[in-house]
Amino acid sequence: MRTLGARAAIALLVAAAVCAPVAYAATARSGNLRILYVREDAFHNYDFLSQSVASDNVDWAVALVFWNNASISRVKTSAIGPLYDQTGSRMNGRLRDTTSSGYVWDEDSGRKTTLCPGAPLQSRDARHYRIYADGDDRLYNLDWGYWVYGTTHWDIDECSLSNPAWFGHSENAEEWLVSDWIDRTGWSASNDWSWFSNSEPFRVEGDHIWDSDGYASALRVE
Amino acid sequence: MNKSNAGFTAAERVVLAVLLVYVTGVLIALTPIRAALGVAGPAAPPPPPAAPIAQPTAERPAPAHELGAPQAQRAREIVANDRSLATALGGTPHSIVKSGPWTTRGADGSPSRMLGAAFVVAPQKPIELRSTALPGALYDQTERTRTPYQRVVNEVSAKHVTQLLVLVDLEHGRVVNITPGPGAQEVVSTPPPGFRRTVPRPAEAGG
Repeated sequence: MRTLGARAAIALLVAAAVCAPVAYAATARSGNLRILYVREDAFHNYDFLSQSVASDNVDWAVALVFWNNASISRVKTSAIGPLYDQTGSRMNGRLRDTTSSGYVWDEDSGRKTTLCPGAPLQSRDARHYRIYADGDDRLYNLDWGYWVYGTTHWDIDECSLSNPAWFGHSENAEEWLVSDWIDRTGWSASNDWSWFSNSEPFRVEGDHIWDSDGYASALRVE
Repeated sequence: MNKSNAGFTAAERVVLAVLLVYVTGVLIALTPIRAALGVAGPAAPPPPPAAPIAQPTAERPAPAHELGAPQAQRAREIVANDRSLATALGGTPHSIVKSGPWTTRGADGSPSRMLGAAFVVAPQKPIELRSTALPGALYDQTERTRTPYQRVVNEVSAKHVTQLLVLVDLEHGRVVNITPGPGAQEVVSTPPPGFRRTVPRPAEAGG
């Protein structure tokens, strides 16, 4: 006779199995997609479904900058790590660390608060962030120190068969991440710190809920 | 005169004592001695980094899907008259805090088209849903059919619902989705008996 734990594990595996990474692109508001520069560094203000720069191939608006002493692993293993402890599907960021090197792509599946939202025994929603950098997992300039950048959003009932799945509410997810950051790491963060030219007024594109104010938050890593 | 050995009157001594307490208080409040004494105070956050500079873009803004005034008005009337939403709100005062178009994505390169309107409805205080029948639109990401979603009416229970995502299909003139927003607690949703999904299962689409 199977134990409850074994049944739960089976349910979880089945749920994870139905979350295949089939993805459909969204379209950035016309005129929004562009490169942002800070000293010698540069990056696109959206992440992308695949490694192709096009306004109809975007996933979410960039809304996070981790700075001062950041790296991909340092952010993911910070004190928010136990909360954002699951991974999602891969998306792509395009960036340049110095003027002497060209643009490079970075893939990241990010971290999310629930593996398969809406699956049996799982929460119905998850907050999900992805962060990008180049080969050494961090960028550097004199203004921001070591830094990485990223996007964030909610996944709602992503793995449910009978409930509608919705993705987005990025502005709300950003506020949650800033709050989680301050509460758990004790490090500072400035919500909606700087204009990133990627405002996406509330609208629903299929199951993709756009809602970004165009201002990114700065989260300091010590 | 009542003079002490130091030459101060009693009244002068009181004034001096008050001054001493005041100056000590100011010193503690304004200098690092506060920290040394273990008095907590708000730490000044480090200044945020310099802002980035945006590349000028030559891309001209194209006409976006926007709801015309008559469409928006009609969609609001449909929402206002929807019985499921009224039942969910249970008489709690509420407002529409966000609104915009609901369009297709334009899967496989086809042009996106208008489906209707999207609203975020926020009750003035968090509400609880108790086996409330709510419509849901199971979106077909392949968009192979003109109506790219499957309708379902689930029985939904939830606590601390602070917002509802409401979608109106303007072609069919009805509310087709009412979903508790992010952060709702203890959400349990039960499909009708015999429910069978006919659209492709939801896949992480930028999720």
